[in-house]
Amino acid sequence: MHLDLQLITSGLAIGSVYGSIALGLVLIYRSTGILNFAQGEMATFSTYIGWSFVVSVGMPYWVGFLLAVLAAFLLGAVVERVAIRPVQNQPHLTVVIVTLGLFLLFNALSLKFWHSDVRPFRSPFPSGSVHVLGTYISWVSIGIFGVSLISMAFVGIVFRFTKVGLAMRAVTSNPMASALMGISNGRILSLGWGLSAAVGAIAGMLAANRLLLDPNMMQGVLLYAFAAAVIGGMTSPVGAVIGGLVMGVTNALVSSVSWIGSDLSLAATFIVLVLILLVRPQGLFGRQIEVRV
Amino acid sequence: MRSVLHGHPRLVGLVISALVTWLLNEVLFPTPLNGYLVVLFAYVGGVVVARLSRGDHRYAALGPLVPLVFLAQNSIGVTELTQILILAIAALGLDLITGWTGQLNLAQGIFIGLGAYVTAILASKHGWPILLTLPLAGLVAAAAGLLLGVLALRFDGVYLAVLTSAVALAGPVLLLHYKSITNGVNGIIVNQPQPPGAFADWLDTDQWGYYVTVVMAIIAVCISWNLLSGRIGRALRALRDSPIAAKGIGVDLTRYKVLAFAVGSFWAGLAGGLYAMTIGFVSADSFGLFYSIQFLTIIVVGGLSTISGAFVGAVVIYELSTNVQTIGFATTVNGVALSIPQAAVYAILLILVVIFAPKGIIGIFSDKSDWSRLTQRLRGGHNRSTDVVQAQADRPPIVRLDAPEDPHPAITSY
Repeated sequence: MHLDLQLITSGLAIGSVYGSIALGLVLIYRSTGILNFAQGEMATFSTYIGWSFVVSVGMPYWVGFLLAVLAAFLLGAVVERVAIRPVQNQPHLTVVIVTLGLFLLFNALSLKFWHSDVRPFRSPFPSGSVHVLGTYISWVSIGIFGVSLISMAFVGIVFRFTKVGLAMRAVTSNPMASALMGISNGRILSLGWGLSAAVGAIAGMLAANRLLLDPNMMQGVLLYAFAAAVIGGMTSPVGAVIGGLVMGVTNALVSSVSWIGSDLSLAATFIVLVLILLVRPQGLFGRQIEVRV
Repeated sequence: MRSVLHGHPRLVGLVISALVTWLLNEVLFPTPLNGYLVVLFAYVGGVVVARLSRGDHRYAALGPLVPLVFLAQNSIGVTELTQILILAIAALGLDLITGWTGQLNLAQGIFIGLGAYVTAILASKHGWPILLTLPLAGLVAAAAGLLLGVLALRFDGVYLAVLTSAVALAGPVLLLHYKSITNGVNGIIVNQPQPPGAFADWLDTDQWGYYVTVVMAIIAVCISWNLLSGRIGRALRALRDSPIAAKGIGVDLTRYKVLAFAVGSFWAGLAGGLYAMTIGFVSADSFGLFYSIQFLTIIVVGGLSTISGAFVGAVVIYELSTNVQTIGFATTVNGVALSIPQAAVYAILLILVVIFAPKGIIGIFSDKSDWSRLTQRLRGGHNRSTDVVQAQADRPPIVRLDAPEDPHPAITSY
């Protein structure tokens, strides 16, 4: 295993993508207790929308980027209203099936509209690299890492310092009381889904250059994001982001081991995950919840 | 007539649905009809009659199995029915884990793959008779399921879903990686077994495979039935509904969780062996996450925690996933072809079923559904299970004479 810095920085870059998706998962999970299997596929779908704006329509990259994020926000809100709210009070498994259905649906729609061939998507960042601490770090890695962090920080700020964020936290901690205080729970939940889809879209747009855009692009990412969210304790946004970075670096390091290779890195990374969870079942940042009958 | 039937409601459902299947196949549709449609009609028919005659709808599902044994003679839809039954056996296993025991398992597909590889490797590389490999396929999968069950002891709910989806995604990668054993992406070809001597005159290979599958399905149903209707079944349900309460009354959580995973995976492995035998080709690509999700949808669409739900769900999902293009829309708007892809139709239908029939297709016919209220009214009688509720509702309200009736009674303390 080479512990070189280049590997770690590229791991951090892709890890920030995992972290963004994990953040989306956590936002939804902590407010509704739903594990959204469609998170990755919705991100892929929005990335394709961005791709269409940039490549097919020929808009400047960042305009297309913003439009895709906006589209993802609307998509998330609509999905919550149409598919999730009718089953919200159903047993856990029913809701899981709905999100799995959404997973299949968005996968099918991406395949339908944009076909299965891999689409090249240029990166908005310069292609060179910068010499830091005796190693070369590519601008792409820095860009992915930076934009992810900015978007995640934005979500954090919304949560912490705005009225909407306060309402979101209120709905999470006590839906009944927040409804009595005049907060429209449904609207806030829709907003939460929209926000999480938007963060996912940003991750998708950033990852598209590295992972190559195809309808199944996000499936591997989703799994790493699950792992990241679980390591982070499922309810901690900061934990999810750090979990994503841990998964990214672990994966990069594990892939570099010659007898594991990129072939088995998925399996090896998950052995790491299981080991972490065996020691701390509630994740690194989660709190042990006492359950009563 | 009714009093005669009354004592044997379960038998009635079974016999009626058997009759309906036979009727549909022989009389109403003289041209060979696809088997799954017959089964579905028969099941619905059986349920309707069984409900009207105070029968137990759950047993009606077994009815179609009876004529199906003979249906194979038409050799139309035999391969289709075989695959449906294989799906149902594996779904039954998953239902044991997820439906009865409440452990969300997204990795059922990989256990089927495991069983399929055991059969394929033993049969085509080592020349074992294929029927002998089937129980072994089940046992190997059960051993793997045991391991997963032990891991599952430490995980709950969402965490378990993440763990099992990781297994589902990593499994095929591992199978592809060890090429020396599994042949990698080329897969393994299995020679489908010829029916043995006595049967060779009147059965072809497909039909033989079908009958083997039918026998296995019956065995699976009988064992599951026995397992679930007694002490173990109660323990599993207690474990699902309230683990802590179950532990409090002395249910050994560890033992039953692991047991559920082992037995559920055994059926998956057996189904996998049958898959290898009847499809004749095994490749790791077929057993990914999508394949596993299919079984979850089967049990939810059919009806969780019901044996017949696994079968009904298997029919519906198989039908949806293979033939749904024919329902797919293909219209043109302003000259642009507007069509919804098959997988999307499948996904939308899935979501609609879950939203509008959260208890699955079996649930539509269950005791407290609108459907049973309708049949109850048609009969003019009372449903056994709602009798108590009904009696309470029918009781005249207690009116206290000394107090004026308050239109807005205050909430008093309890």
